[in-house]
Amino acid sequence: MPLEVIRLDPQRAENAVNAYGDSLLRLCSVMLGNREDALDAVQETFLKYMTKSPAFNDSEHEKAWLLRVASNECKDMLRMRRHSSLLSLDDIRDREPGAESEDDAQVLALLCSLDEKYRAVIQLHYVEGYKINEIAEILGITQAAVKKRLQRGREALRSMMEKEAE
Amino acid sequence: MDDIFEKLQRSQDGIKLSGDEKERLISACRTEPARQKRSARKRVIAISAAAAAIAITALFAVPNMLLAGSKGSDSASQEKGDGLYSYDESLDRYVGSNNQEQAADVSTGILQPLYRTIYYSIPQQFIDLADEDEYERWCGSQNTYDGMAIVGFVKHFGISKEEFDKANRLYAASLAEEYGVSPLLMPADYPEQEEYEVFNSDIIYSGDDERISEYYLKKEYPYQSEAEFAASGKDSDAVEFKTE
Repeated sequence: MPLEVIRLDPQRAENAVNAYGDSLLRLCSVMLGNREDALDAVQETFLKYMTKSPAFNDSEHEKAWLLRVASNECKDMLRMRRHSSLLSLDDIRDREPGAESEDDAQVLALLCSLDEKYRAVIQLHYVEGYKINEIAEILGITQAAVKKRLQRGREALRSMMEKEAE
Repeated sequence: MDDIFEKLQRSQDGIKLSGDEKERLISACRTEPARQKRSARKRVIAISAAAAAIAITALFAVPNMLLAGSKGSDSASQEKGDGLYSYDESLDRYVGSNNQEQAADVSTGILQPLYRTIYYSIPQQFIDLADEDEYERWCGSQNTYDGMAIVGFVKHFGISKEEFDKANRLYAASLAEEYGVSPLLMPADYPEQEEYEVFNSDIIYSGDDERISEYYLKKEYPYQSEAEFAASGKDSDAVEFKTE
């Protein structure tokens, strides 16, 4: 059975890059720890969007699909490359200085030092604002696993913050 | 604690695509549709590359062992821990890869995986059937596992065939959603179809390791790409996996 490929209007890709590009870049940056790899993952995600995306019910469905593909792309990259988890904050932010303080940047560094599976759920829940059932859909895991990872990720972050404060 | 997450949100204000990066992404979407299968091939290529690296390491390890004389076995063990087997450790969904998975191509000397991608894979839908901590411990103990990863997983965690089939359907649904394809019981025509393969539970639960290994051997594909297959004008003889 030949595989069906749905080709999208290039204008739709432009709209998607403008609408969801930053969210995808944030997720990929947090998961991969550097901007160049994150941009590669985002590009792969949009290429899949151009060639394989199903019909979407609405823009939220479309965004969730893109986040899921991006998350899987990052996991593949983490597996296949002997990826350095070293984080360069300057490397993942845009070249223009942001308004965030050093204190804020420290929290981002701590997030990036967590295990990848905790990073993804914390990013999707606390930064992108997804609910537990939505994250379960996006990452293809159970709601129980999302809750467990959120709990452990929070505990790990709290523990690291306390150590940093000492 | 909430304060931490407010800081986390603020910290990411600077993570956004620049105008140039957006342009490059849009341009890539318009000009590189042929690259659509790149990531599907990437896994196989990466495994082959890792196998090649192992082969190169082995070329150096063997003379070192001989030179080390009575310390040869210790040196070899060290190489196994740090070099020869180290690529397993970076593949958290891929366990069990030491002895059976590579076969040397005599003409090139480059090692290739003996089995299809799924032989080394445990998708998340199956991992969810196990206790997370115990799964992590089990993965850490699997460097010397000698066989199909999911078979070892099923045995260790006592997964019933009914549970397995349910997880397999969830896995198939996720493939269908992610790739927009019909998942396959066995890839038939071109290598990218390996990406869409789901488990054959009748084979997995046959209890016959030889039969399992034979079933999951890499295939000789008649076509190198979906485009090449489509150009041939032939219909696929792949067996479709019914998700419902």
